[in-house]
Amino acid sequence: MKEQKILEQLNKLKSIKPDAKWKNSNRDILHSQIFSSQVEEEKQANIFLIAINNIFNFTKSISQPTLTMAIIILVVMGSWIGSSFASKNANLGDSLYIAKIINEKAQFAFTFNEKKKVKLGIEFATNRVEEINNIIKEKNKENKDKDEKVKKLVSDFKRQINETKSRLKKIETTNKIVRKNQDNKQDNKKETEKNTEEIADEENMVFSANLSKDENGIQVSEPNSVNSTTESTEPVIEENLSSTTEEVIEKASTTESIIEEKEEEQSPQTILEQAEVLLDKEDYNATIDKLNQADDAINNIDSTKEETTTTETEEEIASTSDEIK
Amino acid sequence: MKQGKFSENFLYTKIKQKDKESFMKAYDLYVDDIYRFISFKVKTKEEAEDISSQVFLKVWNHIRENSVKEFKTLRALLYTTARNAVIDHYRKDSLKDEVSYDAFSENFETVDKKQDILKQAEVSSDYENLLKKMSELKDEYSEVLLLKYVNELSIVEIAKIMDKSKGNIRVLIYRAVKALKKIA
Repeated sequence: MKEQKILEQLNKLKSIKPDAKWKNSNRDILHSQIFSSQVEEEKQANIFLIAINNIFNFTKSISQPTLTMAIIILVVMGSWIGSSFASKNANLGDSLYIAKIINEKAQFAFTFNEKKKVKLGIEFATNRVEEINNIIKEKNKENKDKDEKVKKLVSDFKRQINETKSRLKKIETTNKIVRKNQDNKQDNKKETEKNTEEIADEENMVFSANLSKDENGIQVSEPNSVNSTTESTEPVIEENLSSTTEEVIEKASTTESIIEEKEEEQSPQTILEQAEVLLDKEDYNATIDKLNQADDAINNIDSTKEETTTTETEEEIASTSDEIK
Repeated sequence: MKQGKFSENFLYTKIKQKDKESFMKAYDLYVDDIYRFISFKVKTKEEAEDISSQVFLKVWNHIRENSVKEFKTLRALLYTTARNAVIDHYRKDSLKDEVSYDAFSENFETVDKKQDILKQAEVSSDYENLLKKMSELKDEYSEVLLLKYVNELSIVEIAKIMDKSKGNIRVLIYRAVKALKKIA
């Protein structure tokens, strides 16, 4: 017999039901037995609580592993966020200070962009300076304790600054390499353009074919009228070209000088060095200002680079469009 | 009567609060299933009726004593109590724990009495055939087939009632169907 037929026959067994008379009489007996029995007065549960309980049981039965995982993730994330908020204003010696340092290290570990790491380094250095400020403002503690804490924070600050400096150096070297590559590419482009122009000139050259006799030689050349017109326009174009190139060179020199001035004024490394000097002089507010300046300087470097890259891309687009024409 | 999982849970929660009316509702819902389950395990219709009425009273007493926490569903509680009641019944009578369907098949009634007589005859002949085949099977096999395909319990519920793991129950169902196929 086939399995399906067996299952169908088993399904037919559902028709077995008790006698309706017995069912009703038994119901009455059960009813009287139950209602005569004394039951401890149970607090009537709120219907909403029952519904919530049922929903919880239902979801638990469906997705117990996912639910537990979600709860674990929520608890971990919540505790992490909570501890990071709570430890934000902690000072050296506080119980939450370790949490603050761990949080900073975790932030460092999870940022992969070097520029962002530099920014974080500056931020954490400012944190150290603020902590020094707070410790000096404390009135209850002894001077020895204060000095030790300040020393430790200063050493931490210097370590942080040195790390950021080395990172900045790395970034600068990589940027230089990238610039060199871009320059090389541009040079290559110019060379190829020159080559193409030379080839075009060769094509326009006069071809001659000697057919046994010099008198019968056929000469193929561009019509003279064209040559004469080009000759007449050449001096005008040369004049225009010389004037425009002079202007461009002047502009380029001015922009270069501006950029150099900017670099001299706002190079973040020099600002960081200044900040270090200010810290040694125990001018903490000024060091915080310098660190903020350094942060701005890094932002400015980003923006100038973006501008240069956009102009380069625009030039490339223009050149390709000309080629297509 | 088919009961949704959510409403069954709702009813069970209310019963656990010792709500008498809810328990009577549960009786109306599950008396047929429990009777059917017991009737396959005992010899006569009277025995099945006696044990069925005992089952509901026992369940109510368990609820009064707050000893139903281990049962996640009402059906698992009812069927486990029914199974234990049958075992107790055989112990009392010092009879073999063997299922015989012959006596029961003489007494069985199909419910819908307005059914066509010819159809009823067809059902009864099929029924008798199946009962004979079921009696040849192991107790475990016939029980698991009954719980799964007649009373439509879930694997989890059957595992709880028969005190076995879910994997064991799956294997048992597979083997029971295979054994029934061989006989048929």
